[in-house]
Amino acid sequence: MPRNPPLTATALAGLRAALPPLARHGRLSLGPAALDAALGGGLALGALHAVAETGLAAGASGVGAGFVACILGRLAGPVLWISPHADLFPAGLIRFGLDPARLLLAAPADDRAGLAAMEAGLRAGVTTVGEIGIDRIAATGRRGSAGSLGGRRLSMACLDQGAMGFLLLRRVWAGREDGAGREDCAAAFTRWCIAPAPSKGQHGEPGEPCWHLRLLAARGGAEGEWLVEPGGEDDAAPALRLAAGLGADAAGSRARAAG
Amino acid sequence: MRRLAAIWPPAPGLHEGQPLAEARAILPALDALPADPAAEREALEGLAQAAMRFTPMAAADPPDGLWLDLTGCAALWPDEAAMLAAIAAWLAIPARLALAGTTGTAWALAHAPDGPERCICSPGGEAMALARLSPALLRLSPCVVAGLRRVGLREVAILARIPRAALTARYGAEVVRRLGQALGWEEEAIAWPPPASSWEERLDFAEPAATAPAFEHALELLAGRLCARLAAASLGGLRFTATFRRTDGSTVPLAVGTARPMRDAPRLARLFAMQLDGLDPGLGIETIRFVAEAMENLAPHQALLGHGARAADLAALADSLTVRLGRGRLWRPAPRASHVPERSLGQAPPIEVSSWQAPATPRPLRLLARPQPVLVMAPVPDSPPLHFRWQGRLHLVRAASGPERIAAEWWRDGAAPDRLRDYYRIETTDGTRCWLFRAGLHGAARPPRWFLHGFFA
Repeated sequence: MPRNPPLTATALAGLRAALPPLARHGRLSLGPAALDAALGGGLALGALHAVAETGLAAGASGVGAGFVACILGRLAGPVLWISPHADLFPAGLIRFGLDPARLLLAAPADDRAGLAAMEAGLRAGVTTVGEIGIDRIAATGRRGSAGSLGGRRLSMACLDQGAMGFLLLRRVWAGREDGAGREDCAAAFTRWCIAPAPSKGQHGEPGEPCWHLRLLAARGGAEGEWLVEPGGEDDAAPALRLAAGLGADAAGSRARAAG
Repeated sequence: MRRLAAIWPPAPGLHEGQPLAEARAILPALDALPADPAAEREALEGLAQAAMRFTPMAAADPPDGLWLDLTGCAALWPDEAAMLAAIAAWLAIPARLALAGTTGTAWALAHAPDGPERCICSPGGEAMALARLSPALLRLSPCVVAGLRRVGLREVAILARIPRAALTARYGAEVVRRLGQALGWEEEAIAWPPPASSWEERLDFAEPAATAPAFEHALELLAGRLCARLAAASLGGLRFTATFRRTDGSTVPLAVGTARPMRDAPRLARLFAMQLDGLDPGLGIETIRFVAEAMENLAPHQALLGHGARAADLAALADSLTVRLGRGRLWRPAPRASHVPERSLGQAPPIEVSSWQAPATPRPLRLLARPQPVLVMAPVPDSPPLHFRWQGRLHLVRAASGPERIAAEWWRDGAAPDRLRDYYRIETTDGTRCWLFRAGLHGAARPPRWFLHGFFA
């Protein structure tokens, strides 16, 4: 009986090369080399990303929105921002490079309507940010019944249309901090958890925002955690930069077999 | 005390306004139903709608009248008397009909006590017809009528002989205006229902339809027809209504508003189809009327590459989201000229783009809809807090900057008690950056209070 030849390294590389690239719509460099490396070459465009935020008041602190605004500031085109709480204050987005004139704000009556609106936005090819309670993703994503809207549908809409989608998870799930680590967000291309960190202001004044950013999972990438600062208002600058001195070499990053 | 509002059929001894108990004493078999003015008003409007079979201009005259502008309509009958007879036969309820050249005369003749059932006043005969009638029939207010009666002005003819200036000086402009409306030197504006749009398509089902696929198909058909006409005229509509008429005569309107003028039939049909879920067809729908309103010029265009196509796509998305989420749930943020944070943000329509400028001082990313009170430990008079308690937890302050003083707008708020706000940017020990303010000043009659108003990233 003929046996399958053992897979050699070159054969494996050949097979890998024959596969379509993971990030089919290109990648965006976030700035710090360590971050881009952990992501497998940058943040995938045209994909769904899940961001959970924690802090003094999960569901109210602006760190997740700030992180998303930093990334959106480096992309072009209108942004549909869906928030049932409607508490986004656009003047505060300018310092992260996101021009509020690009924003289209939606306040759905509930999470179900919010998810439907998010899918509609992505299907229309518009960059969409959806602030959704985690429990809703769990309820709709797991059941899998016809008509249910889960992360998988959102992810498919992103990939089909090449639109960037962000799920902003604003509620801590049963005291666990890593909301984006749950299986419910498994369809997302990357999953992040972000918490505020003390800034390096002087003379007792708060300085530039500083975030403790954890990459919980990335397709074709590794995990890692970093202390980062926003890149600033100038959209030619990278989205993020490492906060000097603290974890600059991504010491916490744990390499994981890619792919 | 309950009183009679209307009596049917008329019975001797009963009259409107009579106490119910008295009426029951006269007629023990009286069957009394509570009056429902709203329903009566609605029924009257319906009657006015139906009366459009005689004239395009028919309006309700609450509580119990109808206006019909029959100018030029009598040509369809041998004479005016025949037309009135036809209207009376159609009404099939006892009604007083009066036809006159002026609204005031027609009203007076129709309401005159003991007048004939049908009454036609020939052109120019208004003054003669009204001469012997009471001024109350000119639709004057009761106190004016009482005043006229006190001085012996009991007939319109006498009233008409008095100089107008004297009447106005004594009784106000109302008497002269009403007299003018009756005798023809003054116009009266009647709230005629809006004329039917010519941008209308209707579809009558051979059999009453009750299923969504049938409606979707019908809407596609109607939208296609209407949009073809709009395209021929280079117009686009901003509002569209589809009125579903049930077999029992009741109607269900569905409406779609669009961000920019459009005449894209498939899209229009989809926007309506999205609302079909909530439609209750009852025993079946027999007619669909499809109307375009608020027309604007819309030049024919071809799909552009790049920016143009994107703008159109965004308008399409905005329309579908507006239908999906409901009115007022989709907007563009717009800056407003105000220093008060909650007033510096406005809402603009989904396709209106406004320009923003970076704020001079840092502004939060999240602004709480309503400032939330916090308990604060802060040195007087204007130092930032040392710690604060919010939602039952104590938060220690690591760094703070401020104050930034924002005064309330006296021209809007008047003398509000806490008119001064001192805002502080606070960073807690865990790194959360938030926006606190102190309302009021130390040393004032009322001690200052502290609020949490927003979060920085």
